[in-house]
This record gives sequence, structure tokens and C-alpha cells, in this order.
Amino acid sequence: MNKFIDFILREKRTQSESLIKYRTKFMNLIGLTTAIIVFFMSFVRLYTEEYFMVTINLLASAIIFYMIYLIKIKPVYLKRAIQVFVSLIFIFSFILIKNVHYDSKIALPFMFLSAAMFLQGKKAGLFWFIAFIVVSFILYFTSITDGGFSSKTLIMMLVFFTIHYAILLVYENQQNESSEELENINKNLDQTIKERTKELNDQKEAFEILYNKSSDGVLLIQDGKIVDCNESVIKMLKYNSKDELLNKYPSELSPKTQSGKKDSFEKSEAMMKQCLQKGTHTFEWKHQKFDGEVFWCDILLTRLMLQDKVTIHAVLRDISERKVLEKEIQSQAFRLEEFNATLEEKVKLQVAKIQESLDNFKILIDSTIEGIIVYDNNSGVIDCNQAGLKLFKYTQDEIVGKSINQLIHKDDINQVLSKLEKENIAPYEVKAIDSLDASIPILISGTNIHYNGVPVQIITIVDLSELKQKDKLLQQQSRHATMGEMIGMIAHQWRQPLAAITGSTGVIKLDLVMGNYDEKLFETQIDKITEQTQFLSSTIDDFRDFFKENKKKTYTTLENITESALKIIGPTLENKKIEIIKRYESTGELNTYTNELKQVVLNLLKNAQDAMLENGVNEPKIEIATYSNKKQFILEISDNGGGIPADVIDSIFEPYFTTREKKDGTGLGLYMSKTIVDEHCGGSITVSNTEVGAKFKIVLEDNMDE
Amino acid sequence: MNKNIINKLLSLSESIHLLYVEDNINIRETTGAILKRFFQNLYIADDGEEGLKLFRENSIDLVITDINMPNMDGLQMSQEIKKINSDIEIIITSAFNEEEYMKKSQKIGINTYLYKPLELEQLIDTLSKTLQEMKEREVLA
Repeated sequence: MNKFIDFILREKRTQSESLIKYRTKFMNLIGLTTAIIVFFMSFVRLYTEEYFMVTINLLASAIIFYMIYLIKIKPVYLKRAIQVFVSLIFIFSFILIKNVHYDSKIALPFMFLSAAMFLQGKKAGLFWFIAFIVVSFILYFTSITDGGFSSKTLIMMLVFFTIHYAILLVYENQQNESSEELENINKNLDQTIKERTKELNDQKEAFEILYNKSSDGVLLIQDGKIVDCNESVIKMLKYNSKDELLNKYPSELSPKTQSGKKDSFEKSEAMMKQCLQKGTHTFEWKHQKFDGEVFWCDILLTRLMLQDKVTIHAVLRDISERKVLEKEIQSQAFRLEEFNATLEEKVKLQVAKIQESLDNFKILIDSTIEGIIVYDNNSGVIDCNQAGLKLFKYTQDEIVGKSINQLIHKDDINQVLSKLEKENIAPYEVKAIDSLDASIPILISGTNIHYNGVPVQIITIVDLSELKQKDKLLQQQSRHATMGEMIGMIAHQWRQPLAAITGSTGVIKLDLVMGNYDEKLFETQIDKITEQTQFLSSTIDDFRDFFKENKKKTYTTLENITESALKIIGPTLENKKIEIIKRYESTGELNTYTNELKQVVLNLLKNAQDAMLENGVNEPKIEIATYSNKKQFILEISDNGGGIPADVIDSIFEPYFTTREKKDGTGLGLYMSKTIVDEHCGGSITVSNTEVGAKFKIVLEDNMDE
Repeated sequence: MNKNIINKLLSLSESIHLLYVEDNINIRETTGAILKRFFQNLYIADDGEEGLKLFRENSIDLVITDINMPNMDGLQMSQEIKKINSDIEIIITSAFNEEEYMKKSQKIGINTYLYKPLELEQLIDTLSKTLQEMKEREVLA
């Protein structure tokens, strides 16, 4: 605003100055012209042999006129003009005394009048003008002059006077006009200044409020030092009073360095320099509080003139919170970056892991004992793992493209083909054919999956050869154990017939020695011996039957199975006073591995017997029950031997499990029983405890159709 | 085997009252037939219950019994008999695999065994020894 006022004032001033200049020139011109005319006229007078004094007079008046103009317009010359004027009066006074020429006497008042007229303005000039005319006429008519006051002179004077007065009027007029204009300008100026002042006052008030009450800190800086500040700065910087801040460099209110390790003083100087060049400058700055705490500020520097001094107006805004936010954002961004980085790393790691697990998977696939075949109905074998190749005795190249018909025994191929298409089929046993056309027992199962959109089958194959072999060994072991047990049973069975035979031979021998030849007695005894040997023979047959390895299923009844077993163990049970209760309700025949089932029954009976004897049961009883429904044949053997302890009941079918402390428990009996019933005969064997003992239940499916 | 042994046994067994207990009919009949040749006073029972009954009803000098029998086994019967007459000689016929019973029998006070199947020589020999001991004990008494 000040600048504006300055500008207006300057403008107006120049305007009026140029006007004055122009007028001065104009007036100078008039003054000079008048002086030249008067001077010229004096020479005319001289040339026409007029009076010398008159000429001088006129000459002097010309000089005076010029001086008066100068005086009027350029007051600075006033002193000198007065001096000249005074000296001229002395010259004229001398001329007047020495040369008493009439005209010259007239000229004197005329000079004074003229001078007065110009000096005193137009009103005084008019007065003197009229006065001169009056005096001139009086002089003319009274003829008081010596040589006579020529009318020519009078008229000439009058003309001069009139011209002078006219010039005066013109001058005065012009003078007035320009001063009026000046007055107007001044008035306008005053008005403007008043307005501006008011505005300025308002602004000042606003500024002061802003300055002192603003939450932003304000500093005024001159020559790089603080000259003033508001309360906010003091508060912001935690100083006690303004005095502590004055005359300090802004860098003294800052930590030694700014961000980027730049020296605070140098940087602040650079900032202020920029402000002075551009007018304003904004930037962020670290300030330090009196207590040492450093905080971030937004700084706005503005250049301005204050009392004719270049001043920097600095606004400080505490942006610590913003900075904290920024930092947080930054740290979050950093964390995000970090997170991204770790994510990337994680992804890499995962990819590596996946690769690794893929590799592992490949190794796993190849190291598994199961053969795995990827199979497609149209193109045959797509892939096969090592175990599969080993099983089928093919190389990878040989097996690829092979049809399932070439890999499975022709007896089983239909079963496999029908089951492969179904889902969730439990593994089943079939025979595979290897590259040497040998048959291998395998366990097979299939899963349908989509591979690249094409339905393929994953066929899993387990080589049962070894298992079968082991199974066989176990079975043999078990059979041997059973045989041992049976030999005991047979021994028991044979004891009586052998005793009877021995008895008979004893009688015959005794009679022979004593000479009692009773033919009839001999015959009876020999018949008895024959009878007993036949019994022995049949027992041996039973025994042999029992162990006949019959690999084919035969038609039989549950009763037949049970009775066969009882033929072997029955005498032993009888001997141990174990009561056998039979309830045969099963009807119809079933197609199964009879001899194997006989073994199972025999084993169960033997177990029951042992349990009861071991537990010292009174009145031991074994109940054998058979019954059948449309689909199933069921055989139950229960005893009153006290049952199986709860903690072992779940494991009694495991191999080498035995509860018997004595040597005769191989731990294979029940395992083999389960194998026979579950796997060979496709049935199930379970155990449960009754109130008095254990109860084994064999369920066989009626699969006569197969 | 010669006649002398048989004659010796015959001389010892003449006045002896023998109780023979056996459940198996074939053994009972054949063994019974042999015993009949030596013992005029032979009592035969087919289980322990009957054997005990015969022992109570008759004056028995010697008992030959099987162990494994229905109703009352040989050991239970022997125990009862020993209660009646602790001096009575009891011979047990048993199988080799019936050692448990033999241990039990020893507790009762039986020390003489005849192993099944009963061979003639074994039977004669054991009976002769037992009867000889009985006779000697009688003389001492």
C-alpha cells in the first residue's frame, strides 16, 4: 500500500513539476522579450538623438523586468535580485540628481510602480496602474515639467504599462490555474491518503492480530537477524521473552544441521537469499526449542520494505504432527515396501519350496514301494514310476502306450476294467502280468483325475508277492503251531485206543504164558485190537484231512466244519471236562475254503479251552452256534472263560500277540484266523465279551454264485 | 517174561482184595481181564464215585485207579479212601503228559504209577513189587 501511495505522490509531483517547468520557460520568454524590446527601444532613442538618460532608463527597466520575472518565479534568486535591485536604485538616484531630465524623473516612479505591480500581484498592480494613469494625466495637463512632458512619452509609458499589466494578468491567471490544479491534486491525494491510511490502519490491526495472535510464528528479519517476532514464536520455541530472540540469526534457533547434514546457518542464508530474489520462498525447516527439542516447521518468507529497510517476513508453522504422520506414512510405506520385499522373498521361498516339494514329490513317487501308473483309456499308459517299472519289469519307454489288457491277467481284466471307471473303490487283489508273462499278485486301486482337462486314471499298484510270501510263511508257522497242538490232541485221542490195544495184547500174552488157550477170548481180543487200530487210522485220516492244503473252494456246511474240528479237539475237551453245547441252526451250503475254516474253528476252540483252564473255571462250557440268513452264514463260539481284558481286546488279532504265558502260545492263531476269514474267505471275524466270557463271531457271505 | 514171575505174583495176590477203577470201557475190560487172572477178589468200578462206594462196602487191600474220570476223578477218590484208611496202597494209571496230576497225587501220599498204555510186564512188575512191600510191612507189623 505504501508503495502505491508513493507512486501516486511521485506521479503528482512530476506532473506539477513539469507544469511549473513549462510555465517558467514561458515567463522567461515573456520577460526576456520585454527586456529586449525595451533595450531595442533605448537604442532607437539613442540613434534618434534622444536623451541619453532616457536610454539608460529604459535599459535599466529592461534589466529590472527580467529580474522581477526571475524573482517571481525562482525565489531562490531572491537575495541576489534584491541586491541588484538596490544597486540599480542607487544608480538611478545618482542619474536623477546629476541629470535632471524630466523624462527621467517620470521614469523613476514608473519603475517603482512597475516593480511593485509585479511584486504585489494583480490587485496592487491594477491600483498602481490606475494611479500611474492619473498621475500621468495630472502631469500632462498641469505641465509642471521643464521641457514639457511630451504626450508621446506619456502614451508610450501608458502602452508599456498596459502591456505589463496585461502580462501580469496573464501570468497571474496561469499561476492560479496551476495552483488550482495542484490543489486538486493535493485534495485527491489527501483523500487517497486518508482512505489508504484507514485501510492501512485496518490492515495494521488485522496484521497485528495476525502477527501477535496467530498460531503461526512470525519473525521479522533484517540483515539476516531477527528484529521482531510474535508471541507464537516465543511459545513455539519455548523461550521466555521476545528479548531472548531479538538480534539472533534464525539458524541460532535451529539445530546445527538440517536434514541432509547441511549446516543450518548456511542453509538459512541461502533460503533468505532466495526469498530476496523471488519475493517469497517456502520450505521446511528444523527448529530447535530452548529445551533442545527439534521440530519441523513450514517456513514462508516474504520480502517487504519496512521503514525503508528490506525486511524478511517469516511465518513459521509447526508441522511436527504432520511430520510424525509423514514419518508414519513413510515408515508404513517402508514397512509396506519391506513387506513387499519379504512377500517377494516369501514367494521366492515358496516357489523354491514348491520346487523342492515337487522334486521331493518326484523322488517320493519314484521311491514309493507302490507302483503308480498314469493311464488314459485312449493312449494307454502315460507314465509309470520306478516301483511300477520294477514290478512289471518294463523300461519307461516300453511301458508307455501299453494297454491295461497287457498288464493285468486275463482272469482279472474284466473286474479291473469295470472298477477303474468307478470312484472310491477299495483296493482289491488281482494278478498282474509282467514283461516275462509271469503272474504277480497285486493290490490295485484307481483314482480318476483330470490332467490338462483330459480325464486320466491314477492306478496304484502294490506288489503282493512278498506279502504273499510272508503271508505264506506266517501261515506255515501257524500251521506248524497248530500241528503241534494237534499232535498233542492226537496223542490224547490215541491214548485210550492204544491202552486198549496194549491191554488186549497183554491178556493174550498172559494167557499164552500161562498156557490158557482160550480161542474165543483170543478172537475177542484180536477183534478189539482191529477195532482200535481202525479208530486210530480214522483219526490219522482226520488229521491228514485237516492239513490237506486245499486251495480250492469247496461246498460245505458250517456244521461240517465245526464237527471236523471237534473230531480233532473233541476228545481233548472231553478229557478236560469241558462241556460242548452245540446249536446248529444254519442251513444250506456255502462255497469256501473249508479246511482253512476248520483250522479257524479248531483254533478258536483251543483258545477257549486254554482260557478256561488257565482261569480255572468251574464247569467250563463252550457253546457253538451256527445260523444263517439269506446272505450270510454265521458261526459263534463262546465260552465262559471270563472274557478278554478290555485293554487287549482290540489287539488280539495282531500277529505275535499272545496272552498266554506258556510256551504253547505262538501269537499267530488269531492273526491267521483273521487272515483266513477276512482275506481268503471274504468274511469277517470279530470278538466281543459276554457276561461270562469271550464270544467270537465269524460272518461269511453267501457267495455261492461266484 | 517167564512163568516164575507170574507164579510169584500169583502167590502174592492170592488173598488180596483189589479195586480197579477205569472209565474207558476198552481199557477197563482188557486190563480187567488181565487182573482177573491174578486177583480172585477183584472189584471193578467205572468212575471214582462207584469206586469209593465199593471201597466202603468191601474190605479192599489195594486200589488201582485212573485219574481222569467223570463224576469223581481218581485223585478225589483216592483222597476219600485215604481218609478212611491212610495205609491203603493206591496205584495210579496215568499218561506221561499228566504230570500235574502226579504231583497232586504225591501230596495225597501216592507214589506208585502205572503208565498208560499198560504193558503186561510193567503191570506184573509193579504189582509184584507193591504186593511184596505190603507183605513185608505186614510181617513187621
